[in-house]
Amino acid sequence: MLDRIKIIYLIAKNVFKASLRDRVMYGLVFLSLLFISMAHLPFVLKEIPGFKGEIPLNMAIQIGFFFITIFMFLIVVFVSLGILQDQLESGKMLLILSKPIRRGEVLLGINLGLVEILFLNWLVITGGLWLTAFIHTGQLNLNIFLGMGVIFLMAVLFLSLIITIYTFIPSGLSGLLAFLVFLGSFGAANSIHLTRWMDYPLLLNSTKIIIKCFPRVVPLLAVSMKTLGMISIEVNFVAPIVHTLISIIIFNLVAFFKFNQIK
Amino acid sequence: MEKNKTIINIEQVTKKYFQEKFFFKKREIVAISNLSLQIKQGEIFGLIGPNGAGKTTIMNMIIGYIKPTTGVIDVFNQRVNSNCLNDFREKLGYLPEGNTLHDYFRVEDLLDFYGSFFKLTDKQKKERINVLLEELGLEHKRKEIVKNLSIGQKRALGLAQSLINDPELLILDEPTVYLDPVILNRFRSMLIKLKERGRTVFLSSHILSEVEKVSDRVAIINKGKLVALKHTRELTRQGSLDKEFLRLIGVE
Repeated sequence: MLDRIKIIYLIAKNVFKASLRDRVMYGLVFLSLLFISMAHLPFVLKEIPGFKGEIPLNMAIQIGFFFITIFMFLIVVFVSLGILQDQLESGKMLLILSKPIRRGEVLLGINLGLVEILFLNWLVITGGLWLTAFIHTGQLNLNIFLGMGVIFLMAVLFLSLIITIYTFIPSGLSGLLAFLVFLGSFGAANSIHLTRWMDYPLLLNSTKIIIKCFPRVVPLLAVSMKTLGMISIEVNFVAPIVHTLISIIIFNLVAFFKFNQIK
Repeated sequence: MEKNKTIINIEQVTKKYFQEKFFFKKREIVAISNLSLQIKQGEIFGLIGPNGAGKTTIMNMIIGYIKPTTGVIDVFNQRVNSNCLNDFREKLGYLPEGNTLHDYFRVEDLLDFYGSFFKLTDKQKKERINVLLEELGLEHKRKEIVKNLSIGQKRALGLAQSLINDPELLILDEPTVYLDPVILNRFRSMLIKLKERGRTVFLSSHILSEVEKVSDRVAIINKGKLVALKHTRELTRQGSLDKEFLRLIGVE
């Protein structure tokens, strides 16, 4: 067992190494830090006599939340697709699979490596926001890490979705399809009302199941915003997080079994 | 050393591909048709054929990357099944066609990476890396990034990775392409040494003179079918292998 874990870690380490030469990733992290540095602005504006905006910390967190969410998704799409295409390219896979390793272990290793990269990027970007807040307020503001942690979880879900689709359609199209599913999930919660006009129970129930399977993007964003103190409504923390964790496991299992199929 | 022990047993293997468009099956292509081959321990077996004859497909099936449509393949008396962790891969060295190396590593780190998949201690790995770099003339390049090597050096490094676990069975797909005469000579002596130690080598090549020089037996395939399987000296009795090859595939 231990030697299998070591092998998976070896693949993950290799993926991490491959990402280090990824200029797109550096570009995105640099850009995100540049935008997050805008979180510094409310604290500067506060010094101007007559300033009547929100509390600067809240404004800074709102700016950070906005840019971190966008950039995490961009990083997932561009970095993961680049690495998947590079690592799962037939020649390299052929060479790796001639060694004593299972196909599923390769995919698990790649997945783990990508999560590692994602985590590091998330840590750098979130750390940037936290540092800005800490410098200006002198408070630890650990809720920044907790709230942004939900965004990280959402990014992992998006990554799992891309990997799963990639095992079926090994091209850049998988990123687009994953993005469409995510986009669709924004409206999924409301689309449940459409079932009101459905007369056939089978159609009604299957539509409801499909809608429930969609990623819980809106509730997750609400959890994140609530943790960051951006909204004051009642939010169910457990359900969307459990739903997301189960979705990540299911997506990875589907990818694992699909990848294990040999043509 | 058991001379007659079968290392690779290919029995009535057929491989068909289906050209697909989206999810609809389109056209059936027979890459390998009803092929049977046995490769014995300690022999250097050459597989030759024109482009698209099915050489790489056979190799990919042996290592378990793809599976036969019908028929079976046993390696070291173990049925090749890619869904399982076949033990034989521990004793296998493989060099695919083309440049398939992870080129962002340093030369010695790359060998260490591939060596880590096997049950080798760090000391054994280090020793193997030193020996292989020395033997293939890459000693001075050990700190170089793989990407910066010449095509020939990358090919030599590919050979080195296939030998990292001191394999009992070595499968080489077009190993001599791009090798300069010095490395080629070293490669030949390595193969002879491996043979002397009872190792089995299964190689495919377009360079017929190379196959002629090193192989004990040669199989010629054309359009997925076995057209000849003979000892090299039998094939070359009436002239060069090139001439016999062209005659057998019907191009004279």
